[in-house]
Amino acid sequence: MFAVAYSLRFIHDVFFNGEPIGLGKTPHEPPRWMKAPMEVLVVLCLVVGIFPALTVEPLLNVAVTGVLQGPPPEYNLAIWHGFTPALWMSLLALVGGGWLYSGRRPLFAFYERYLERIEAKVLYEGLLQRLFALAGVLTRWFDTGSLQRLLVVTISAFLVLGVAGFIGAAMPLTGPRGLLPVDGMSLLATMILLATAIATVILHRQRLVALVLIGVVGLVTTLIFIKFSAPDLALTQLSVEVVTVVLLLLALYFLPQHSPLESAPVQRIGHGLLAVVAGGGAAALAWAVLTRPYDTIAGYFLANSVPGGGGANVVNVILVDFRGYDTLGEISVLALAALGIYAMLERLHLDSPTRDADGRLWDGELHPAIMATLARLLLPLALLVSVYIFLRGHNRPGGGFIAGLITAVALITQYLANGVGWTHARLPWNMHLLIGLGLLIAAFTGLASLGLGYPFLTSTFGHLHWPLVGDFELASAMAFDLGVYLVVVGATLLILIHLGLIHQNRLPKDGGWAKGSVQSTDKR
Amino acid sequence: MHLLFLICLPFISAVVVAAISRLGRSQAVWLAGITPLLSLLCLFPLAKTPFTGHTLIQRVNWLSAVGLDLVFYLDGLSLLFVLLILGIGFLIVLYASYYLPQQDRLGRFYAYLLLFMGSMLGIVLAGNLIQLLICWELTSLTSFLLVSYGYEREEARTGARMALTVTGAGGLALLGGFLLLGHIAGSFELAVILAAGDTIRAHPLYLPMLLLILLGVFTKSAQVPFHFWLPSAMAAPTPASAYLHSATMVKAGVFLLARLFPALSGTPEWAWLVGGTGLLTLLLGAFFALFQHDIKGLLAYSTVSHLGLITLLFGIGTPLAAVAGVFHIINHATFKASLFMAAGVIDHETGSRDMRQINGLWSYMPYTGVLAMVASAAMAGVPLLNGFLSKEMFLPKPLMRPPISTLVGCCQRW
Repeated sequence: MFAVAYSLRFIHDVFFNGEPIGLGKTPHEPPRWMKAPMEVLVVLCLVVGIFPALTVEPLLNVAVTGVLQGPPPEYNLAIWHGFTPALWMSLLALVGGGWLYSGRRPLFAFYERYLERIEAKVLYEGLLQRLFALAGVLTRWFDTGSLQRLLVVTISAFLVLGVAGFIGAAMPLTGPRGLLPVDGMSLLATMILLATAIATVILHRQRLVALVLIGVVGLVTTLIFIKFSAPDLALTQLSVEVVTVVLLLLALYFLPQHSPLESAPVQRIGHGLLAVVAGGGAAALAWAVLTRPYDTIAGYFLANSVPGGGGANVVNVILVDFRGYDTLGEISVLALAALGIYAMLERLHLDSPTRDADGRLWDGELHPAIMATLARLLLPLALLVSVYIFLRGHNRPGGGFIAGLITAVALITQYLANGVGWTHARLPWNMHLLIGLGLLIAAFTGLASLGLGYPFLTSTFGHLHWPLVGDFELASAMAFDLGVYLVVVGATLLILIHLGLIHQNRLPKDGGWAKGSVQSTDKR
Repeated sequence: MHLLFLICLPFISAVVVAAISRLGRSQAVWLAGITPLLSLLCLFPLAKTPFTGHTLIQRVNWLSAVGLDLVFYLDGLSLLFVLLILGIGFLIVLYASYYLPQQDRLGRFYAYLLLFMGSMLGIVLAGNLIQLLICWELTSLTSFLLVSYGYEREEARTGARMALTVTGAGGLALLGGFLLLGHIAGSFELAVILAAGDTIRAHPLYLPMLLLILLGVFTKSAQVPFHFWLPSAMAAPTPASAYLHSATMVKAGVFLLARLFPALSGTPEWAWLVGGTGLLTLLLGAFFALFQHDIKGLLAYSTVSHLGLITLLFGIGTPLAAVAGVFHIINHATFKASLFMAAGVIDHETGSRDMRQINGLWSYMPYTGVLAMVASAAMAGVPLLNGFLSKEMFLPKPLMRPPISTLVGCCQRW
């Protein structure tokens, strides 16, 4: 009955019931083809209504078979069953609906008076608001805005969990495995590492010095990787270190050169104790693990790298083949992180300092000529190196990740030496596109194997004989690696460009902005 | 032809449409229109299997190590939904090209629409529950994008967020329900679950599992008390409403009811929960529909009411009620989609959706008026139209299962 009434209202109110009120334009029939979809559906309504047995019955039968998982019951689709109760009730409903609609005015008044406010929507919004309030309370309870506090909670939790694991263990801390002899080089590197690490802690208030010390830590770590025959890691560490220091330098630009004293002496002693205990615990754990014979999974990878993945560089084969899924996840995270940073920096405008700590003006000469020239000369070489590293990655130290970082470093050098404006005018690529393309390539490599009937991300490889070059291995993992490469380049540069742009005018869309960097000290 | 291809086609096409819409509007329209037609063509050789009374099951190696494969399941019910999704999808593509303003390049809209189409196909062709759930969530996400298409308006953002929260919460409940169901049946594969109805109904975890699954179903199909997101989602462009909120997305919930009918139905809990909710929704939706001033609001509440009716029919649980339910799914999709389109035409031509403003359009657009009248007559259940047939089918049933159903039968006519 209500169905009839609201159908009536729809038709009567819209198409009849006087003239339109307060419309901006005169309505007329829509274009021919806009009505066509409606016509098709309305004709379907009619045809199904009049000839049900001819049109819809077969389809309805199979559909019902699907629902019931068995033969459909007996039923009769016809427009005339005689004067059944159903027909009477239909007629009754039609009449009743008409009656209901004709008496709508008091009903509407009643509705507006009492019922309009009772809506589930209101309940929903109230519930949502209460949930938000609860979340606020919980957040304020956990996170008071103090980083120290958060770190103390996190580290203490680790400490408690770590110590709990040792309670009741009857084994001695030192395992049966013999110790390796110490050579001079390792000792020296470790000493430098220790000294710089401690110096970073002590000098952390002088930000620039601390940053340089962090750089030293990174470089020594690189050497240690080389010593333990992990050239891949060393290459990665080296490029990551460079990018990190550059990014941190850009961030430091906006901060005062010295950080203030944050906590009271008592707190600092407590924090120091916690740090020493947690560090000692981690060291003890490492000691316990390293002095025990431990069968790692490395043997499997070493044995299967060439037959299974077609590459002699085990690290790379693990990245793009054995653990391709992980890598896909990682580059997705990298892309997300870059986009997140982009979103935060996009609208952020900071006033850049015009004077340094001693009150001297910043140097007006932004880009020293020698550095600019050298950087431009270096670019093709660096790109060539990155291509080389990329291509050989499957068999020798290298790969998409490292090559991406090298390309990024080469381009970052241009930004540093020549300014964002100059470089951007020559490199007007959209980094979002690069990131998206990289992810798509990596994902499609995986899907391609799915399309051929293998599990997701199965890789294959073959050998190709090129004239002059000779035997050349082609692995499908290389396409995947290309995806990794693009994401790394795109993500790194996206972050960097926007960090460098915070204090500058926003990039113009047309890219014509060659001298823009000169205005870097302008205030908007 | 592989069913996986059928599902992937709209997804691939979405990316291409988004890219080529830069070339021009008509290219986007053509490609987006061809996609459902091409899919129908691909479906054609496969459609014979359900008509011979068999189920077409295709599988692709996925996570075999944990016993999960991509399984595609085409039986009569899936076939019906695929036809609805593709057929109405094609009409919507055509309609949208006239509805949306000329300066809109349409790439974004069609890309979202095609993504949604692919996700819906994924739901109805899924042969295991995990796959179904993934596509289920995808429809929530893509419908969020479609509802918030005009994101510069605040109501679009609120409506989209509301739809996403409600259906997303339901999806979470559904995940829980599916995990329980998979645990009870010992497999996530549909074929196994549908055959294990007796075990499932006798299991001690039946009730919590049923509650969780029904939460998912009721949020998606806008049943009371979760119906409120549907009227709010009317901020979507009308083609999207016509597609999502009449023919496809809200039907995903009732699809799941129909799909799991052999496995879950036949218990008093099922009858009371599903039937009761359906009845309540049927009545409240119809009642509130009368008082809406927004034409799309009226249609939204009427959709809520019709969905309640379908839910009620599945809740009754007799085979004949199931026939009526399936029949009404078809009929509701046809007349409601055309009514939404008519509402869109009116909105497009008059610039208003308020029924207190738009009156007397008969003298301006009689042809559209005739179309809308026939469609709403079908909605009201006037004889000679499809709505009458499916409404009439509800009536013989109460005679078979007396106590609850007599009341139900009276209310249907109410």
